Amino acid sequence: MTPLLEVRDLRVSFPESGGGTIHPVDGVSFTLERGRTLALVGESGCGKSLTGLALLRLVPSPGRVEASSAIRLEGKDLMSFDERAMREVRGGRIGMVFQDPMTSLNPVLTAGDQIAEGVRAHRSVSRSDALARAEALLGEVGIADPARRLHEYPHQLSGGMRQRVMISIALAAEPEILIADEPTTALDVTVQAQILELLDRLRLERGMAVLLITHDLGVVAGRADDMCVMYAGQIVERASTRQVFEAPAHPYTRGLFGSVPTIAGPRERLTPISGSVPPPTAWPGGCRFAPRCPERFARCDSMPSLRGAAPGHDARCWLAGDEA
Amino acid sequence: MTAPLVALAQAVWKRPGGRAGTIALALLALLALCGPLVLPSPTAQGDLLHEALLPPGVGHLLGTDQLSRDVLSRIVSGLRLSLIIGLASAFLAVVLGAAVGLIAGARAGLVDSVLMRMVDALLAIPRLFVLLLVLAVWDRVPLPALVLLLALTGWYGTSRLVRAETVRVRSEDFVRAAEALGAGRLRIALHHLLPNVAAPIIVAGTLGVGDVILLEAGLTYLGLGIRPPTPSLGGMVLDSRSVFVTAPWTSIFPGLVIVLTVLSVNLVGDALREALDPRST
Amino acid sequence: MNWLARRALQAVGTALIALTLLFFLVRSVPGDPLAILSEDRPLTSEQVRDLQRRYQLDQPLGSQFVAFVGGALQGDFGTSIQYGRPVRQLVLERLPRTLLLGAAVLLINFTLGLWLGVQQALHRGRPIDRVLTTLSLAGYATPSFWLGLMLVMLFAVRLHWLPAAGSLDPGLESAGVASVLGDRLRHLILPALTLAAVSIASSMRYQRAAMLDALRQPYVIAARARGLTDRRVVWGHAWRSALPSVLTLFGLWLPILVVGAVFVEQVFAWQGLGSLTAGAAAARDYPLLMGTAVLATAAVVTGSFLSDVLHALLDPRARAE
Repeated sequence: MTPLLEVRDLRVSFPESGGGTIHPVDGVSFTLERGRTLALVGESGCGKSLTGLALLRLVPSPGRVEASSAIRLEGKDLMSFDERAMREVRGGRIGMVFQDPMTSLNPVLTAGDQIAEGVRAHRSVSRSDALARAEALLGEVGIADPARRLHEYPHQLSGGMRQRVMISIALAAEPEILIADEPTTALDVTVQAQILELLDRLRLERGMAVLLITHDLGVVAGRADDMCVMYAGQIVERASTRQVFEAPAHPYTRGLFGSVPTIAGPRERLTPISGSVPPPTAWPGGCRFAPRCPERFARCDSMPSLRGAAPGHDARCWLAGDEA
Repeated sequence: MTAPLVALAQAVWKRPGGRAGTIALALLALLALCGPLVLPSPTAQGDLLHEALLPPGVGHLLGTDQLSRDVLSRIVSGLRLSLIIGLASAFLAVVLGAAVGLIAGARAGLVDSVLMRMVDALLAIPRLFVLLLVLAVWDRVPLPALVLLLALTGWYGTSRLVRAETVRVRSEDFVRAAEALGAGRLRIALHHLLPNVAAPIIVAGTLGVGDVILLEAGLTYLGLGIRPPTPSLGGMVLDSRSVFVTAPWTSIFPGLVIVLTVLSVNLVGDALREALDPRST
Repeated sequence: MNWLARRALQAVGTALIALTLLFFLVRSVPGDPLAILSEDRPLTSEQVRDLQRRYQLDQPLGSQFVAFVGGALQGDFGTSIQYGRPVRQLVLERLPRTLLLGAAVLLINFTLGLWLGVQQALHRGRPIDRVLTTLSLAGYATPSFWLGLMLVMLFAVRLHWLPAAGSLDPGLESAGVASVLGDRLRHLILPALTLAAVSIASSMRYQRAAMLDALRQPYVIAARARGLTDRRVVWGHAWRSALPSVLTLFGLWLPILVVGAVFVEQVFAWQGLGSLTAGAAAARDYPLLMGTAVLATAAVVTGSFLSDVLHALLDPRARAE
């Protein structure tokens, strides 16, 4: 079955102040399937948010998506779309939920207005019809008393409600794909679970594909069908969530798990990964994780490709799979 | 102490606007200082019958006015005067504003409230009207008094800036540590406050120069301000009113020089502002 | 409501303090006021008496102050030395023409000025942005009285396209509405353009900064992600959220109507408050000058208050405070 969205070799470039270019997203490939959730996991600075923006071709200038990238939505390459066609895709076929609803909602417009304009951007309906639809959406995302909330401003709503409004906006034009960029990072722990539940339910009800961008492994567990781990602009591990959790194949992923405290299980020492994430200007020529990797060896001076560690499980590491 | 200033100067030079403004100002200053050495006297009247209202040409590069005085040398004189007044009063205003702001911020409490309420009220009275009122009842105001007046009406913004920064710095830990160590308040003020506050003050002062030059020209044009026979740019425009139709050069050039001067000053001020806070662009 | 009352009270307080400062300002000038006022021309004994009575010049400072404030609050500033008529009357007579000029200038600033500022923000850093900045700075650096003269020289004297002075041709007093209106417009163009040219820099700069700030916000990218057109994103989101802070400028413009016009009105013989002030200054007509100064101050205080109110009305966040 054709994947709903197929991303091949996505590359985003930014000009450097010195004159060169950097690639915060450097050859990323993955696919999204209908009705399934793919988690894109990584620390801040790895390029995952930019990847989400790149899919909608909304990379802020002076950055740009390189022409060699391929983003195929049901077979058609978005890179070949003109601005007008992209506008139809944005919101209409791919919706995006942003990280911090306080700053991603316009403070001088009501919640209802912002949802309604999302509707009217893709369907020619009257304002009152759009607002009615907005009210229905607010109900669907679990907001009590939607009629009242419709006319309220973002600062009058709680954090959880704001995020639900953001989700309503993303769903306003019934997209097939939902990109959720750190949807719960700015929220209280108790609200986080509710929002994730909500996203799950909506995905099942509508048969959407969800790209869940997060740095939190806890969010991934139990919510995502598949996951990709990103480091320094590249995907370093790709498999079903279960496979990764049971047997992480990349030293970085293993390091991530080792540095997460667990309530259950024996009390072990946390083993944080030594060093810190290098900025795009300081990426080494070979494997980018090598400087911090406890298992590095001579071969790591050249860049490994994504290799099969197990069926359906790839890792960008010379130690994965056969050592040819 | 000088390193940041050098860096600032370099930053201004790097920007096209700052560079153009600096060059223009340097040329104008050069003209103002050296002009009198090569130009005819600004007050010398030639043969009124034959040498009045001559168009620009050889001998009188910008022509002569109705009293057959050389326009260019009068402009140079007026420019020199404007620059002096501008720089002097802007400087005084900055010093005054900084002093008031410092006192208000450091003392806090009643002194602060009173001072700031006064500043609010002073800001409400348009600067031009204050100057008009005072100059109308003060006959033949001497030049230093004019400079003082301009300074006394231009310090309000600076005082607010300095006060805000003083209040902010006052609550910083290193200040309390310094106080605990016995450093005098004045020393703290100068040592810790100045670096932070120097930047916006310099910008405000630079822009203040331009405002003063325009104000002084306007006041002189209305008959207050600088009195004849002292040459002044505003005065030249005033004098030209009766003859500018047939002798436009008596009017055009003095005004253009004002525009150029104030523009250059503001370009430099703008570049300074950009250099000190890139986000504001 | 509470906030509104407090803000209004604050405005009144500022105005009163300003009034006090004005009083002491003039008293602080060296010399005997009467002597100075009568230096250029002899005052009639009636004028002297009126001045003395009105300003209690032979009374101690305290009662002078009371007389001054009391009169100011009622709008009574005595009799103009130049015209021999009550200041209040003269001011009220001239006010409408200044308002007309001010409205025209405001219109230009808040349409052209704002639009140019938005364009600058959208094309930030590119040549058009720099050119516009330099042009507007040049405008700001131009003395308004000189610019007025230059425009008169070009359009009135050389080209005969527009009239040089006044607000209406004397011969049209009994003409039909359309031609009167047309003529008024013709007279309005040059003074309005002059004042607009020197003031547009502020509007442009303010709008540019506000717009740049708005465009940086995450909600702008979020708006694009909804598939909105560029126009809707720029005007419906970025500009709309920058609007409250730009419109506060509107309130601060009220004083420009009264102040900035001093030179322009004088050059164009526009019979408004500005030329009244210019004439009063030249003639040392102290009562008249004081009257316009107090009016100008009141305009500033009112304008500042209005701009705060406008901001609260337009920015839902501010109402929460």
